[in-house]
Amino acid sequence: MFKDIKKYLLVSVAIMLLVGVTASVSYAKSVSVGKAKTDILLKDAKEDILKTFAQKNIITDYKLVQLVDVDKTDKKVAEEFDNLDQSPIGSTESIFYLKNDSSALIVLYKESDGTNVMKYAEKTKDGWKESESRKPGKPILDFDKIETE
Amino acid sequence: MKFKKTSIILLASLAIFMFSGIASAYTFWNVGYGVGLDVYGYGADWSGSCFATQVTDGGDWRYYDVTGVKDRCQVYENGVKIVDTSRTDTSSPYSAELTGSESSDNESNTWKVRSTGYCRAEGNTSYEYVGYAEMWDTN
Repeated sequence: MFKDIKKYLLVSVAIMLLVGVTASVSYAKSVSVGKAKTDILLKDAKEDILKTFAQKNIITDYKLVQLVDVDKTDKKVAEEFDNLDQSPIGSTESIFYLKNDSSALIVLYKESDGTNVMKYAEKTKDGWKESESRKPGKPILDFDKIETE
Repeated sequence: MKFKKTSIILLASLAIFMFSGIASAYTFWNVGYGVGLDVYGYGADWSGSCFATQVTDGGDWRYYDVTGVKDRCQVYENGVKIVDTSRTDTSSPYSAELTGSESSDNESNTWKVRSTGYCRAEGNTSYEYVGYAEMWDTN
């Protein structure tokens, strides 16, 4: 009788462990799939934007920056990035480039219809001189159709 | 001679009175901002805020004479902007708060919220950038 209970308990614990591990693995996989698909979507948009504008000097004269880093080091530059970052609903997340000598900055994004937008600001004596360029581009990838493996 | 002494005392009193008047004419503030994101199932709750806290003169202050705060929230689902909204508060105690709930038809989504804080102060009529906070998560 006691042996049966012990056996039953062992089997129950084993099943519970198995279910728990499976659920955890499944959840982790699901979370990483969502992130991986988003990364693919944004990478595809970025490549198309850079190709469209064919700005070779973006790679050589500018550095890709994260707003969080700029905000910590130069509030004036962060403020200008914020002024330029006025993308409409349906656009991809903006990409931020800062010129190596901090004298100019670029904000890039793709609008919902695929239009690629480049916003530019150059430091002047009195503040910033802003300009904008728009060019047709390929559509944003359909998130549901992105395959990760 | 007596008149001269009285004049000096009166002038000194006036100077002290004016100085204290000027000093107390200003109010000193710190401005903060924050962001929140809670993902669940197929959706996400987000929030953003910007608030001004009055501090005493001589303390650690950043702005004087705040007359308003503003918060802007941008929410992204799977890398695409789905919300861009802002709110201002022009009456003390200054606190502009934004909240929202988003949902998706599918699981495995990436959510990101960026809250940017602004304040109007020091006699300006427009809002100036204070800073931003950002969070992201997946479900």
